[in-house]
Amino acid sequence: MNIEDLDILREVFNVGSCHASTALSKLTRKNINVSFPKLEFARIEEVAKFVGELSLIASVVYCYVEFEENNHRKPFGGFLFILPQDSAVRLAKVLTNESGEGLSDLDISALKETGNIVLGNCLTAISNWLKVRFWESVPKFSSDLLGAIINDLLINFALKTDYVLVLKTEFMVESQKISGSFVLMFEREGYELILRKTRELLK
Amino acid sequence: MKKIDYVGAGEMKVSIGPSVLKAVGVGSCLIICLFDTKKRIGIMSHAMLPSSSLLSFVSNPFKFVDKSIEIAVEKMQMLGCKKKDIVAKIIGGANLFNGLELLEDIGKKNIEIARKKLGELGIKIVAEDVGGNFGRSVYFHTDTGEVVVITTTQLVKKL
Repeated sequence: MNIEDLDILREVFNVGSCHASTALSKLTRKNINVSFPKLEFARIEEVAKFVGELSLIASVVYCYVEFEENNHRKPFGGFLFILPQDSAVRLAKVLTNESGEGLSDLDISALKETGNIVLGNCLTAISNWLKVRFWESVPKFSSDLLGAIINDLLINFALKTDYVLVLKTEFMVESQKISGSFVLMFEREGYELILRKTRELLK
Repeated sequence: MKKIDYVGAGEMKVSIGPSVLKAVGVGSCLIICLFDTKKRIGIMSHAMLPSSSLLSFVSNPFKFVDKSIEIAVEKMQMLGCKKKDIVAKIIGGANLFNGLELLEDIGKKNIEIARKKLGELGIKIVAEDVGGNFGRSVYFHTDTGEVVVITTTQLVKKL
């Protein structure tokens, strides 16, 4: 893999995360700032550190994604929508228009659905760009130590490989002090697909 | 102030003399703390997967519970510890995402394998804080052998 390949992956994820932010912006009716994606080819043991502060308590929505090729489903990667706990509570209150402390069942449901919409938008953008069909798993939700969540999700990857390609975009809803990140952990088949398809498009 | 050493997933650290071995964000991973009560030597390993037999090629043995325990016990014997003086404490093996197909029961399997392996090697498990659906942070004081477990609800438990 060379620098150009990494740029392609970053750009594709940038398109995806901008669409995701637009969706979040529409849901909250607020302006959102998005950073340019960071990329790292990290050892399994170091992925969690790249994603964020390990001891941070965060709410995470997770979707596992597969793509279709020659009528076969192949692994693409795992998408994460990460919100530090205080941001998660603030976002939930904006969405449900309620007040109070902590996350109620309704709040969790709202966050899960938001994660689903946001990650879905990201995926649709990538899908339209590459002309590939994706399959998305039912979103999972967990609210716990970020390190514990990430390492749990990495077990899938740890069975196959020692290194994972991770992309991360940070976003911020300024007026509401809500910040968080979108993360994509690629399977090998996933980034190979993006590189192959982009090269075809560029020809 | 004791020295604090961070043990990441797939790592193992040995401490001779007073220090704190720390693992943050333990979900379905398993923390195995071995402590020699006479020589005051401690080892903490942070394993993610139950058994190395799941893979054909093992590049990092510390990712696996069974291999980690084997190596840790070997290491302690190399340092002159006797098996009868070594005690084990295991922490972790939770299930954070209910019903994530592939991950199901990984935590439980990690616990089972650890119990089996430690039993085979004749190491006594003196304390456990395992299972549940929440993450933990673990602090292992290698001068006293005390293990402090903190959960997200800020519950502090001493093992």
